[in-house]
Amino acid sequence: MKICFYPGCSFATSAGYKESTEAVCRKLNIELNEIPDWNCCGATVMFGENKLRATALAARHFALVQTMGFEDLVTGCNACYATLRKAARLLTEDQELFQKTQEVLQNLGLKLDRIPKIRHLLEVLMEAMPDSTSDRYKTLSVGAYYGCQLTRPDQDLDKGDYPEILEHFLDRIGFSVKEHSARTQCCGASHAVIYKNECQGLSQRIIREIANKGAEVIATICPLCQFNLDQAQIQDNGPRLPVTYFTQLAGLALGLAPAELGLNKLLVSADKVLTRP
Amino acid sequence: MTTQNKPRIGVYICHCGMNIAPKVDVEEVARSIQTLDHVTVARDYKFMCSNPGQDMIINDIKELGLNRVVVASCSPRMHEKTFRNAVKTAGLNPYYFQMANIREQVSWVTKDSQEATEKAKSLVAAAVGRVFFHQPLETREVSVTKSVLVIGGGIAGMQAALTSANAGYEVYLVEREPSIGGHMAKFDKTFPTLDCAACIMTPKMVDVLQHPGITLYTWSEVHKVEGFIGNFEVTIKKNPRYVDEKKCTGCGTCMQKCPTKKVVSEFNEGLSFRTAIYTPFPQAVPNVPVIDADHCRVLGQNKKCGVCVKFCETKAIDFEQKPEFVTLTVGAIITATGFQAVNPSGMEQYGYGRFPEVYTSLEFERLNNATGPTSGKVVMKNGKVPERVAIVHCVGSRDTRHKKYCSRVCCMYSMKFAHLLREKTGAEVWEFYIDIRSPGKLYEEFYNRVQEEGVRFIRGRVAEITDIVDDATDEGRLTVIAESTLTRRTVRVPVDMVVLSVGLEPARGSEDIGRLLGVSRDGDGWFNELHAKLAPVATPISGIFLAGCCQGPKDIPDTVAQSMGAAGEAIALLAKGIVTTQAEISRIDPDLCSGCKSCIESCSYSAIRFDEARKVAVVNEALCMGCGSCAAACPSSAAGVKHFTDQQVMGEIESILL
Amino acid sequence: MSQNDTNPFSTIAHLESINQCIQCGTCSGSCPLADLMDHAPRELFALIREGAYEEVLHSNTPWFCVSCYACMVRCPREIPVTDLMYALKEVITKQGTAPQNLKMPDMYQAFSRNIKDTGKVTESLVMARYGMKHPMDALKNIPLAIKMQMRGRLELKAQKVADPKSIARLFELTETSKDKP
Ligand SMILES: Cc1cc2nc3c(=O)[nH]c(=O)nc-3n(C[C@H](O)[C@H](O)[C@H](O)COP(=O)(O)OP(=O)(O)OC[C@H]3O[C@@H](n4cnc5c(N)ncnc54)[C@H](O)[C@@H]3O)c2cc1C
Ligand code: SF4
Ligand code: SF4
Ligand code: SF4
Ligand code: SF4
Repeated sequence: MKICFYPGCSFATSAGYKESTEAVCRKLNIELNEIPDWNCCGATVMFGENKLRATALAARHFALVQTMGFEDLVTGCNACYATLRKAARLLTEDQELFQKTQEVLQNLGLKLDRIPKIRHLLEVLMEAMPDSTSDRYKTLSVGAYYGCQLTRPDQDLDKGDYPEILEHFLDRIGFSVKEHSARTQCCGASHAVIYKNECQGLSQRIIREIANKGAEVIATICPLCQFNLDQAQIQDNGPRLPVTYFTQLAGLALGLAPAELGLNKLLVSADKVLTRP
Repeated sequence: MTTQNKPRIGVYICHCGMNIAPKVDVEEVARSIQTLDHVTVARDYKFMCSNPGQDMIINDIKELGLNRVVVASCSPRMHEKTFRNAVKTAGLNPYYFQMANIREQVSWVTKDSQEATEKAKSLVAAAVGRVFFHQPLETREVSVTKSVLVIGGGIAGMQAALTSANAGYEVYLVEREPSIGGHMAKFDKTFPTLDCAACIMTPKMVDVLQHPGITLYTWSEVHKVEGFIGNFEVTIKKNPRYVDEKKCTGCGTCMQKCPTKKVVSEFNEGLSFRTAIYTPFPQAVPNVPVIDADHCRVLGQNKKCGVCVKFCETKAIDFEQKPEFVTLTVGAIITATGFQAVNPSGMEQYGYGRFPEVYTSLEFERLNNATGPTSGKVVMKNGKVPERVAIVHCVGSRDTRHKKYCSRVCCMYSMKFAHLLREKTGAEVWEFYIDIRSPGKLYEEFYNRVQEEGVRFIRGRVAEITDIVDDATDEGRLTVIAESTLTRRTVRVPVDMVVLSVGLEPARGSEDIGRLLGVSRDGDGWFNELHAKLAPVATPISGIFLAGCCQGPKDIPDTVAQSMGAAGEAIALLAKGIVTTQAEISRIDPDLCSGCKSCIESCSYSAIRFDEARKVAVVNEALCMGCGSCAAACPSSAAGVKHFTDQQVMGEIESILL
Repeated sequence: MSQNDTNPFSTIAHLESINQCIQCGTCSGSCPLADLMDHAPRELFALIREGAYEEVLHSNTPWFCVSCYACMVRCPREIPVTDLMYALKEVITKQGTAPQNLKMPDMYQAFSRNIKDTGKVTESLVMARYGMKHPMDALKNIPLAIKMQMRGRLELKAQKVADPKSIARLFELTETSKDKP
């Protein structure tokens, strides 16, 4: 399988998202074609500054995806996913905005004929990962954390408030899944630097709930969520749960070594739970 | 058009007070119409529908020898009948009349006065062009069968049946459940007066059973409806009960002995179990059990059992029963199929189905009912009495993602619950509402009473119900999160129990009933009344009436009043004993008919049959509704609707285009 | 409360949807940072309906929207609350009426500036720029930064697109436009 991949700004420096994604894709024969010369999607900032600019920043990728000959654009970051989707939706809905965006792109030597379908890396792995055949991780209990922007606002992948696809995925690849109620509660990532206390509270509430329901590890699907939940723990003395990426768990399920998956980069170490017999 | 009958047309332009005249220059319209061919006289007048207005028409017919009349005024739905009668009084056939609507279609909707006047001229000219080709038509009178079918045995159906039967008419009441009673049978107390539901309901149920004029078909469905007002042919399907109603004494031994004890009880909203042979509740009417074939060991699983057979002293159990079909003729039909509660499972933020202590209102009714799963003790699944309870209004109602309408009864029943909870358990009660809707006699007073009882009313729609624990002392409780919009605080209230005040939606199967009866439903699925204000219990299908919640959410007082209204309409129809058939119906020219039968398929009222001898299609004049489907379907132009002939319609169109 | 005759928000897409708001509070009850907002999201809609535009132009509310979309999927009137928060922010940004003491706009500016310069976002650079205005906030994050650095997770060098000028050009082209929010 070949996919057109948009890593986003936080991918490379994340706690092993890049390593694990690349390792897993290699193992599954998924060819990751990074959009050459991609730019920042604008995240939650740009749409609050200038709609046309935000749309143009996103649409620049759409034009690039088109020149690469792909129909879909895959990203592993919820913020990118939601932002690109918002741009895609506006471009389809608003002819005038489309025209103006086109003018901007043409000025940069690009042209937009087709708006790609924006997909999350989770969807790709849901299709590509084989069912587990081993009991190796059957006793490792995982809490799935979606963050806010995978299922909202579109709710097309799964229900907005209480999705279940990540649980199904983890169960299928051989982990013990713990149901909990914080799966789409917001961690406050975008405001964490300034409103430290408030956002810390949001993240810690999520961690407490997941720990309360008996999980030892958290599985995330977004670098911002991972970072926020990870760092929140070293700032208080609540429960300590390693915050992994679903790609790292997928890698483990495929028999890859923790080091290969960048698991050494977590702030709250996963060594203990992973080396447990 | 024969020469003796040379058209002499009178045209009357109505001012409709200030409704038409200021916008449309009525005098100018009259002047311009006066110049048309065959128009003998054109006048304008303040109120054509008034007595002097009608007299003007009658006098002109007599004195000027008019033989065609056009009135340009309001919608024909308002006054077509009035003017036809005037024409008839003057001795003309009433179908020598045509109406032009220059109010709803002109003065009320056209901004510019000049444009309005021009448009009015065109429409009146069109009416003149049409009436030129009108022909005299006759109506017929048909006698009415003096009996009523009532569909649905909730409080609405029971009341409609009793009122009709008390007037001396034969009533057939069809209920698909094993017992009559509907939703009200599930309640313990009813707002606003808190009468005991069973105390006011059970006697009515027994009256229905014992009334000599009422034949009760429970565990039955309406299978087929044919015919028309005055003489509907109805087929009822009696589902096999596997218990002989005549032999059963209602002793209940079978139910005690049946070894299949773990069937989820529908009547108790899934909160308890029942046996395979069961009556839904102790006061069921008739007090004859049914066997649930899916769960019975003999009927459903091909196993040996027959315990009920062994213990039944009157030998009432009969595994050989088959569905039975009964055909009846009735003069009128009353639909009373009620509602069902909206299922809140899809609204994930409330956690229904996920959290055991989140209940729907109907579940709560059962929990609170002396005959319910806890014998009326309001307790949690762990047996403990709740100390704090939240009641969540507007679940699934007033929400464009679910039901856009207000379900009308849930504010009141929510407050009933609050009162009962305070009284029975002393629990602290938090009611989360958007608006309190208590418009009814003694309703606001009930609200005030519940306020006095210390219920905490929070104005804010609940955002979320969660089991996330924010304070260790609340372990095991749920937290209800909402903005208290009046204080602008986000409240997070830990509670032991949550009741979701779910909205009402049309009963399952309403669509089928609608199709069988030909009664249309609105966008939300409720049956359409003929006129929201002036004909609230009639339907567009003559002889079919609506009672209770099948027409829209309502409380018991309104349901009962409407049921009596529906019965009253039915009684009026039966008492008169005759109905007049429509004149504007289809006619199939036997000389042109090729016998292709296209029309027969196209007719929704089964009004066309095929004459095998002559090999032509024939219209049953009593069944035809004049809808014109056959005329459109007929490839040989043999079918046409009287009063809508090609000539008449073309005459109208040509006059507009001129 | 000052009143203004012309509605500065009138060009916002789907603004008319706020006429449908029934002030039920589902949005605010769902909002993670509602406690920091001077007005509940729904109150902004009510204020616009009342013509109290100045109040809205100076509200901090849109700046506390974390874009979680919880309100939007629950609003019983299907009002696109989150999208409207973005659009309000855009009008406020263009009119320059964000509250003086609010730090969020500075963070947004630092972020936006970083994209304009390099096409991509490098967290350390955003922090550095923001820290020039609010040194205390930046200092608070240094211990964490060190921990990140130790795990090879702190990038100090700017990530860049191949031709940063093209992104700067995109910014210029969209700067002049008087576009609808
Ligand atoms: C939780 C709750 C509490 C309430 N409390 C009160 C209260 O305290 N006071 C008050 O005034 N109102 C109350 N109401 C409103 C009250 O329930 C209704 O006004 C009343 O039940 C309406 O009666 P109905 O006969 O129209 O409908 P239903 O009670 O629904 O009866 C309809 C009957 O028709 C039958 N039926 C349906 N379809 C068919 C079919 N196709 N063929 C044959 N039979 C069919 C059903 O089985 C049922 O028996 C409450 C409602 C709810 C949901
Ligand atoms: S035969 Fe069926 S209904 Fe009778 S006792 Fe056995 S299981 Fe129950
Ligand atoms: S009656 Fe009350 S609870 Fe029911 S939908 Fe209307 S406002 Fe909501
Ligand atoms: S949830 Fe929607 S209707 Fe309710 S207050 Fe918010 S915007 Fe208004
Ligand atoms: S999207 Fe914004 S306004 Fe809506 S709930 Fe989330 S933070 Fe609040």
